[in-house]
Amino acid sequence: MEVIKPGILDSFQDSGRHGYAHSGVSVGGCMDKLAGRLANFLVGNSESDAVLEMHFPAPVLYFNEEIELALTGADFCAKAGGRVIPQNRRVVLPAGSTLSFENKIWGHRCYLGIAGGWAITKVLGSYSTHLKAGFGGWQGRRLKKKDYIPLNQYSHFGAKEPIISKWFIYPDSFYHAGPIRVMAGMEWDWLSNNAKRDLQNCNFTISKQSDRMGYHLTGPELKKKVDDEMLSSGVLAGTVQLLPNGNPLILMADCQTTGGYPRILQVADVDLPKLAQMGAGESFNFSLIGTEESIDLLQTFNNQIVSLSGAIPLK
Amino acid sequence: MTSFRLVKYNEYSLLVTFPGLSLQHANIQVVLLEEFCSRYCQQWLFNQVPAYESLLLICNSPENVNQVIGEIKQFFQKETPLLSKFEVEEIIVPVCYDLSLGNDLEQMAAFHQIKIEKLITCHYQVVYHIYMLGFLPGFAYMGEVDKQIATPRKLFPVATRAGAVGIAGRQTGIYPVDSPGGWNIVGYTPLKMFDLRKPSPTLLKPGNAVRFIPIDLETYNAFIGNENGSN
Repeated sequence: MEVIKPGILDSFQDSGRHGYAHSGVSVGGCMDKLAGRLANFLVGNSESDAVLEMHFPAPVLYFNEEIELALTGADFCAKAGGRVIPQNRRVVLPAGSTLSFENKIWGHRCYLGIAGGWAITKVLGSYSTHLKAGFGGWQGRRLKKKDYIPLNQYSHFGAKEPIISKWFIYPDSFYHAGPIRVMAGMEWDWLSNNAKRDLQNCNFTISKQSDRMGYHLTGPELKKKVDDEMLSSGVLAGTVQLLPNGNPLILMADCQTTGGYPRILQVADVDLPKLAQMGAGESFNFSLIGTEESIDLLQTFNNQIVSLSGAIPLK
Repeated sequence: MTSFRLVKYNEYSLLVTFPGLSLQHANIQVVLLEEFCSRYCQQWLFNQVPAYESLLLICNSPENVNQVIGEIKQFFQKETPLLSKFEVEEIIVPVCYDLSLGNDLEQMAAFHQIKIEKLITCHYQVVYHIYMLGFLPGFAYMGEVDKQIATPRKLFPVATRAGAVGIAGRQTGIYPVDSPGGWNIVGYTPLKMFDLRKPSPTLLKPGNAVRFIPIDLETYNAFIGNENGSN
């Protein structure tokens, strides 16, 4: 795979780097871990294989051999060989194809999975690119022009033009239009009653200083009722911290392992993919649920993914 | 039996804390519990995040949370050995406090109304205990900083260079890579805090101690030259 033109942030990611958080190594991985898994399922890879995470403007990629691929997550109107390459399907591109992305139709992060994957090596047990420390993925960084990343395998359908599966998966229900469901965070009780009310009733907007590490939100100023400074403690993707300026910060995939700001909310795991497909300027509401409800949601979600992953190879 | 508190952090994670214990004692419990979980709970865990007085345990499935809770309860029913049984290694970390490298000493001195020289001495004359690693790969949180120079975090994180030695409240720490950071910077170390070329990439480990040694700009530059030369 050759990068003819890089996108603004293309990096290899996977299901995350587990087992090193005690050394301060963030979990990382796909922002939208659902889309990463789906891309791998579609091309018959293991669900924790590497995928290419792309933002818009997305890259222009050239493949000198025939490949079998799938695009999931955001729809950037992919094109190859003069044809639109739709999301969430299995696609074969003939040797010598150029894959490009024309415009942003929906979402913020698109994932490319290729059957057999890229010839990249795991660092500390993961393919994920640790952008801040510069390791993992492809040379520890986002893709650049003229990068040539070898593939582990090619396909042999003898395609003369893109072959697009008639069937497709339809993950839209996971990206529902409802509020972002959250649980009370470890320091929820540090909040003033007004702040607790505002969090449940007001709109919050994702600000421009938002990236793979976290989303800064703007909304009503949230006040604490206690003046304590806390000692740093463990955090996870989906942890919502209250910054000293009264604004919340939602930690995302590349978040640090620990933090010193009060953890006021924790996003339900099932709503992290939806959040990952939102970007600067978009607004949403929070809806507070209990941990038990959130566990039920996650179990239902996992069951759906298991049946989906079982159904795809039958196609 | 040690008194502890278990709270569900999310669908598949637990936060263990030790209410009523001194910071030092709580941190000993955290280090011991992390060691125990590494040995006996590994099959149910994705990650462990030991911190000052808390241990975040991330299970690999909501179904395995109860297994881990059971093991932890058993662990704390037994007498636990004290940290004094561990060999505490003291690691020497040279720091250049020279203003020309770009630090926050002038603002900090004004904030505390003390001389810069006094601030520097206050920082390096303490041998610090490493409580935890976090925030960035190999970032060690150490304490405790002398009350006279304890400084709150900046209101917004700013660009901070690898090697920067900072203070936040009564904590001191070293940035292992370039990163936005909210800590006030007192100086820079030429040592690498995170090096993937080494079998154990992190230089500092919880339970160990750090002694900062002041170095001048010339020595700092010589150190940096040597580090680059060895690459």
